[in-house]
Amino acid sequence: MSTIHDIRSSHFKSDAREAIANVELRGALARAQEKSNSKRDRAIQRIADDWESMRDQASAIKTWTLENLGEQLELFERNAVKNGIQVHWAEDAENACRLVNEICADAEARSVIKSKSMVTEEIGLNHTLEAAGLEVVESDLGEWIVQIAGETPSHIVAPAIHHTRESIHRLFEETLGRKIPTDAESMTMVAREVLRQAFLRADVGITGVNYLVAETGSFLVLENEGNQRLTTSLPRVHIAVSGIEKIVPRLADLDLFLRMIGRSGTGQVVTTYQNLFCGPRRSPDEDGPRDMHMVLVDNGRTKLLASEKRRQTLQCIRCGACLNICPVYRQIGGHAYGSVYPGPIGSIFTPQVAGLHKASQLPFASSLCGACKDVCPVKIDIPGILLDLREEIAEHGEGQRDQETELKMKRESPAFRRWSSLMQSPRKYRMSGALVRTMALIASHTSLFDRFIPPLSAWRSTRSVPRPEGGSFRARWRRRTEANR
Amino acid sequence: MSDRENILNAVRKALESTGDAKSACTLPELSRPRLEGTQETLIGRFIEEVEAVSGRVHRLANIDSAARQLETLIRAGKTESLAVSRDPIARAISSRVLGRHVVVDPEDNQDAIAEADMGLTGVRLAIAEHGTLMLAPEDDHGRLAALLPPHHVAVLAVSQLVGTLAEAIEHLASDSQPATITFVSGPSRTADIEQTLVIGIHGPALLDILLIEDTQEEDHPS
Repeated sequence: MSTIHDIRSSHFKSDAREAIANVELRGALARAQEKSNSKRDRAIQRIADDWESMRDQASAIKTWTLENLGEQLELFERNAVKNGIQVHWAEDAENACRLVNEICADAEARSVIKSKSMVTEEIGLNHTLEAAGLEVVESDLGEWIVQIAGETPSHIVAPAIHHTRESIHRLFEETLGRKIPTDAESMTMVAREVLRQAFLRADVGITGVNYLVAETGSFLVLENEGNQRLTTSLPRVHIAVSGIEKIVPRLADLDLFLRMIGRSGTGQVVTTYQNLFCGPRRSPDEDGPRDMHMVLVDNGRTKLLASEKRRQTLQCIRCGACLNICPVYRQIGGHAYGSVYPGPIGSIFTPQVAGLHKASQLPFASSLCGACKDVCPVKIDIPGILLDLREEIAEHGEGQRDQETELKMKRESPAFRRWSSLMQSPRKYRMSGALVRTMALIASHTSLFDRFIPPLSAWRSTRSVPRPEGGSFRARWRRRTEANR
Repeated sequence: MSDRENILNAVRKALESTGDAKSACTLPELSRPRLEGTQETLIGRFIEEVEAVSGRVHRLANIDSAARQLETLIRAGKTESLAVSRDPIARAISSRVLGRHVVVDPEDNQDAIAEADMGLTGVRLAIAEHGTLMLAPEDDHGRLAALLPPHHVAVLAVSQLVGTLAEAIEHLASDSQPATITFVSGPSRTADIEQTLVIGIHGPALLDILLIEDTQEEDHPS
């Protein structure tokens, strides 16, 4: 059974409400979004003439690869095995975790160091390894922060984006049991010291994957901190975990994707380090892992291949640009989505992988403004897929909806039926317009009556009502044409 | 059935169900960007890009001037121990400062390299367009020397500079692939605390590149 670890997306509405009430969180998110968007814009500005054609190419490569996924995966496996990489396949999260556990047990490992990987969050790997008695340490600074806070990441690129410097400082002092300075640089250096010891004692290093290269059987992983280089240099064993969709056919394809992903994700021209792995250490080299394993994880991804439209979900290169631009994410942050994949991409990935019944509110967590589609470097039609999922939930979702969605359907269907009848009669349309204007006018002056009438009361609780001015559009249009005559 | 067969069967079945869409799609030819200009243009771009990501480039005429530059860096950083890879040029340079500094050989254990203040290594190639070094640790056994010490000094001959990432990847495709390749653009960095940029977290905090015109060894070093 495909699943996403610790999913609680059926609490979306209440979690989102709680997040909106958290002023500190919203401040942190707004600052982070503004910074990352302006950095992204600047980075793309320099290659603005090429950007659109690069997006077309990247999207076409991903489309082709997904249409040939079976052959490409087999080709990758053949070449990787030739390179000395041990390739494993896992149908779901449970099998993937079991495989990694077995590799650790065979290596007689006691301590595991990890570099940031979303797929290992998806399958809940840390949980399984810890249950087997292993020490597991996340080494990316943001991941380490959320690990010691006992949280999940709230952003796929910047896991601790919801934290302020003060909250991280409190966390560090509590965890380490000593006083440390409050500036970001000193705190970072404390993390370096603590984590360096964890690197030196680790038996196994675990990473995710950005690109599997079919024609060479090698794979590439990106980072900025150097924690991944340490993760793959010091321990005896390197285990990489990858979703099956992370594949590109040619080594030369990396050039295009590497020029795009840094700019899209963090506004960097390229990330500081890009590590290409082509097998375990070879004699006479005395450094690097003796064994290299690749775990290819399906966990529901193959289900998405059956629809040409929804298949696009698997083109994602996890740059996070859609999270950074999304007005909904900006207000509620990552945790409210109740999935390790939040934001626009999470709202289409989570329900398809974990099942609609686990996340039927997420496709509605969007204003369909389309900003995510505009920034996506591989041109995923996120609003289109959101609509597709909404349609499935509305038309065929009986028994697949959680309580909240069921309630929403019950309330909305009669409202839309009434709307439809109003829109079909000019007389009714005019009358309803006048009624709404009157009500809005009253509502903008007083909270007396909207406080008691759902759904107005729910809408009003976080918004102010705009005051209508100057009569209906039709009346104004009439006045204008008469004046011009 | 194994997970492998289950996954591959599921892929096949899902793709067959969408019918003949597959034939319409072809794998696009890639544009292979090149940098126009002379070698001097390449060098200029390289320096500009390295500096943009907080690294430093020193243009040097030969091994002797590179050794003098290394001395300067050692003095400025109060460096006490130096880990040197087996790259011949790095060795030639470090041999000129030897005697006054501890040289850790990578054959020594990992702890000695971890305690060094500075690592000196070679590179396979460097890429001008992004200010990138391409390290292939098995060339010179420099994996840990380039990674563990807080200061990485890389030795690069002008002839090793290529224009674009696409060219570097072409080189890679024509050679047999090393076990690991690391592309390095600047020193280690993080912005995980309130998007505040901090240079030097897990990897080296300082990156100095000795860009050498002529790497021929003189018969009688001065």
